[in-house]
Amino acid sequence: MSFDVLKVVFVLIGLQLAGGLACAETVRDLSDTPFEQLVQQEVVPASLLAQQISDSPSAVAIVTADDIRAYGYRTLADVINGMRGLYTTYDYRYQYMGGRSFGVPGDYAGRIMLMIDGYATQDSLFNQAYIDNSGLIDLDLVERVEYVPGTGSVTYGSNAMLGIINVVTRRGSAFNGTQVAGEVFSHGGRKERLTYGKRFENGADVLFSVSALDVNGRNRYFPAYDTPATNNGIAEGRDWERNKRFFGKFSYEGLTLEGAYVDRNKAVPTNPAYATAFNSLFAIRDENAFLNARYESDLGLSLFSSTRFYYGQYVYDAFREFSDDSDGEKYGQRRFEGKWWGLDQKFVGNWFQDHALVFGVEYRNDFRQNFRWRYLSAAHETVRTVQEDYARRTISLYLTDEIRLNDQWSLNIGARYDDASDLAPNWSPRLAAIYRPAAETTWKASYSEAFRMPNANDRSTYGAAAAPEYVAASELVFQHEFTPRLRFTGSLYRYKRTRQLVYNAVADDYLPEGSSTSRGLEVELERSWESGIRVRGSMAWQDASNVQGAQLANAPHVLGKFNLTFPVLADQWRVGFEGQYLGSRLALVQEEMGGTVPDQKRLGAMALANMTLSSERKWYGFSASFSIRNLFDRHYEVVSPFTWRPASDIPQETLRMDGRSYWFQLRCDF
Amino acid sequence: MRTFFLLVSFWLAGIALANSPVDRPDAVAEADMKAAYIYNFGAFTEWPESNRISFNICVLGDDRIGRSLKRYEGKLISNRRVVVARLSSLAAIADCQLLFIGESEVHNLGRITHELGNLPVLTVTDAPVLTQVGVVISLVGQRLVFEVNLDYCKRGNLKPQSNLLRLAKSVRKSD
Repeated sequence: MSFDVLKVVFVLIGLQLAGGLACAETVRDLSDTPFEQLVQQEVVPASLLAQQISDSPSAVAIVTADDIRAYGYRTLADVINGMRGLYTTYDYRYQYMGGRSFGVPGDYAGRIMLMIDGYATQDSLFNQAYIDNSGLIDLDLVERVEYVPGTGSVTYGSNAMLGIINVVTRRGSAFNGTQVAGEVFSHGGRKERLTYGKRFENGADVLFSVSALDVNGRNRYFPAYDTPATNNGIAEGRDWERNKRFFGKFSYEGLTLEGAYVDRNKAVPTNPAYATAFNSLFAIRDENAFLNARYESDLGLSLFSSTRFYYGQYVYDAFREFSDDSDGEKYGQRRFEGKWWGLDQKFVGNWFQDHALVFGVEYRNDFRQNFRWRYLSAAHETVRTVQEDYARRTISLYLTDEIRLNDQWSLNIGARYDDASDLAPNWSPRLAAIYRPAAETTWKASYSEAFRMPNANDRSTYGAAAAPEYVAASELVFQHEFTPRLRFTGSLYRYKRTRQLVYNAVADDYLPEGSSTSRGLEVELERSWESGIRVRGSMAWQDASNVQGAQLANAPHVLGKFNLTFPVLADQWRVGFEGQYLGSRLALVQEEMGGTVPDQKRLGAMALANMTLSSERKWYGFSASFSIRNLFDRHYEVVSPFTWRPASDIPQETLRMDGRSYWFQLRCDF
Repeated sequence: MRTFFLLVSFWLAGIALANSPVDRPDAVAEADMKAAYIYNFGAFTEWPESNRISFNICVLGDDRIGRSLKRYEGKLISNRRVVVARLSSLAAIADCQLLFIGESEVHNLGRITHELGNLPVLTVTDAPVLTQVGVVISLVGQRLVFEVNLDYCKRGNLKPQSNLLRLAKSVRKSD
């Protein structure tokens, strides 16, 4: 962080402190005020804007079910693209998230945690959080999505290194009956969903949902393959996608049982590997499933217990055709499989006045981490198989204490200890101070350290070189509610990542000796009106570097978001408008055939707009939504994760995305 | 880049200074005031004799009020030390003397009243459901007002004192 900025920040904090202290003397202790006087006193009404439910001392971004409906969000990637300082990149296989200090598609997996009702959903092989149609949850079942930037290792351990996406699902009572929904959208897409939700007299709440998606896709053109031998760069009928999802939740008293399943099949129109043939079938399948059982109970008045058992599994299947089969291997099949279970016992203790203690222990067993490669001849006979098996057991202890110093100051101190069977034990500490000089104003300053264990895929790829990587993060957050309907959020941060794997030419191996720094500033203003208008605007500036100290690829300096929604036609309908600005960013360094390292391509800044019209009321149980994405039909490209040159010698550093597209959803409740 | 940081920092400074909480020094946050009301409901009610050493104020489904109430811990009501518990389930509600039910738990009211029966537990909420609880707090303009359901209090043998009833916006009783 530059010295000037630091100075300004300190002056700012000083001023706020002075103001707060001066003010502290005038705040009366309500507990000694006679009741007769209390009832005469004016109050500042509680915020009418969405409040975070996670207790994180960082600047949380929130998207509610109302926002999901108003802006026509269909995947978590859509939600993320509307959030302050975040963006996603698509490579026709997966959506990859980008944000503070990470932008390269390969940097995403294993560094962001995606939780559904407290269950960490990442698979145990790549630790990827699936946010597209391969994700576990239909957005119609989501009550709210919170993005908690910064480290979460103090509570959740590995994977929560750079941020947490926290999804809270709706209760059955929110549906209170059966809902059927049908969707049609551009490129031959359709989706059907059936949901049943109910709360019974005895307090039991159930929610079940099944859905199926089917997209034909379209023929896509890739300039790097524009040669007669590779169909002039056109991938024909190689863009289809299908998925099936199931979700179920049952809760009664302190017990909650929850399970989800998704099976996603996608054809990949790009050529994602050097050796495979363009415009041949490259199909991937991602199957994710989990079962999570939680029991919460009060053990007396000052001790609360939450016991959780979870089981999860992930299967990756891929089929590919090689362009050169002179070694007798024409086709390749991959089947990777991960299975795990775990037990988490958490306590919240309120024994001491002004202390809220959270502590617990978690055991996790990744008992299956299998990789299977099978190579087939042109006649589909097995020529060769390769297999690798891994496993890991992790035991973790954690403790956090929220200390109320006085009416204005509180401290949040915690640490988590993770001991994995194949790694040295690790501590992840966090220290945060929270200062509330007035009911409307909050300052939060935090310092934390987090880490990421090498996953099974790292162990397979890097062998003995696979090692944990670390980040130290400092953040200062300022939130102020001018009125209960107008809120400002500002955040200033600095991340220092260390022990990143880099290739060392002398050792001819990867060594954990890379480090990089990112810093940035985010500001957001959010306002709502009684008439139903809601508006939110944010800007994010960041300066993220890679291990060489140069600008990080696919990490724009500037990001802007603008969301506006308002009722129309006598409040019967609602319009949602969304604008997103992505500053210029660098493509990945391309592998060179000749020897000289070429300049990195810089992609220009771009702005996209989406528009949604949704019904606010139901007619005989019917309601509908209609969306136009990429409203102005902008032709734009994103950074490609592929760095080799095909036979044409044309680099493939970017991928072209879709122009304008349409989506229509009809729902019926009965 | 650096200039941008500076500019925005100054902007932040401007906002911070312009809105130092000097403009409304007497205003109190809604949650803090509700907590003060809840404490006073306890203090201005005659409680049946009990062997308990603690006076338990419980909060279901409203973390802000739960946090605000924490500062009343250790004070005395009917010569018993106040303990504040933020509950996450209905398991321990019978051990409470005062139970605040937040908006998100109001759908459980049926079960709560059923489970409490005639126990001396004063239920308070900020949802408009006076028939099912002892006291309802609501925001009218810039002030908080409250209504007392005397029938409900009688069931649990609770006696709100006259100065409490005098400050109430209305008192509900069947006779």
